[in-house]
Amino acid sequence: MKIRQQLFQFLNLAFVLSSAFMAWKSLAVITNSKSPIVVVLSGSMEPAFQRGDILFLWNRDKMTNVGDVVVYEIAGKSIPIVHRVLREHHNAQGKQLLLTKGDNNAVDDLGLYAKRMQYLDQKKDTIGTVKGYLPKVGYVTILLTENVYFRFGLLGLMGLSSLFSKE
Amino acid sequence: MAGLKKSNLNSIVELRTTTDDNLPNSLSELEYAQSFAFTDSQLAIGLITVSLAGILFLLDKKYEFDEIYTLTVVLAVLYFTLSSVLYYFKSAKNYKDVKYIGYDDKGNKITIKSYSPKFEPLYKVTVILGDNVRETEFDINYMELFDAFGHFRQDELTARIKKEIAQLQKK
Repeated sequence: MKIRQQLFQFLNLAFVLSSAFMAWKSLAVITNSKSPIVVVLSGSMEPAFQRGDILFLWNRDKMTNVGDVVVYEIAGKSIPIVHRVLREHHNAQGKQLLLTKGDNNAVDDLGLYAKRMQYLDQKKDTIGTVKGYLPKVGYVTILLTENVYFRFGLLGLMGLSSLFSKE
Repeated sequence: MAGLKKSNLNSIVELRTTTDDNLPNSLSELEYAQSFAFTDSQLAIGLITVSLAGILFLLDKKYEFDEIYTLTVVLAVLYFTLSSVLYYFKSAKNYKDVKYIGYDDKGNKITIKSYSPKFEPLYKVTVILGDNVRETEFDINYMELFDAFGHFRQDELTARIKKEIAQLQKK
């Protein structure tokens, strides 16, 4: 009996972790985006988006319009970039190619792209188009990654609360 | 069994857990053998479900999102199907609060369900003989099951269950 009780306890904990992970993966599948929710890390899109805004992405649109805000990732650079589509055109195969620029930047993104890369491939390079946002809420994650005191403070609080809560 | 362990008399949850834990002792005294088939199948489903998530987690580290898209869909669907099966076993009327399933030496089944209301010190028990053939519900006050120090009184529980089973069998 004891071993069964312990297995059930293990399962309870495992379910908390696994259902969070599976919910995230399901959202990724539904939106067809590997990272359907992102936090804005830079001020390059001010005043549209501030640092710490949470963006909700959708990656099932066939075409992206000029003026849409897309999130893209350049192979080899791991940080996704949130910028607005400035120009678009189609190549001979009907592929949509995009040029992007940050609202708050003086120049377009050519300098950010990989070497000899002149456009973004709408299918391959974008992670999604921004469809909604929550202002400021994501600042918690910025604090967690950038501020050591905040991280350990929060860990400490969590530890304390687990000491004082029963069951 | 309950010998030296004390329970906190102010916590209904703890009183209920202790009583639940000691339920099998009472029933083995009444010569029932516990059957783990139901518990074990729940455990098996649970472990399979969790390992599905584990597999996806490892794959996710190794491969790009686009490479394993179809597999991700399959695993997610399986995961949520199995989770809802488990949820059904936890919440459907027939399976909810089942704490003990056992058989006597003639192969007669007994099922015991129990729960406690949040703010009443009552152990609410349902005893079912056979497959929903005869059923009785009764409350035991925790005052009867624990002494003033919080020691569990196994004999009281055994006696009460024995009485209720005898009455049920007469019906």
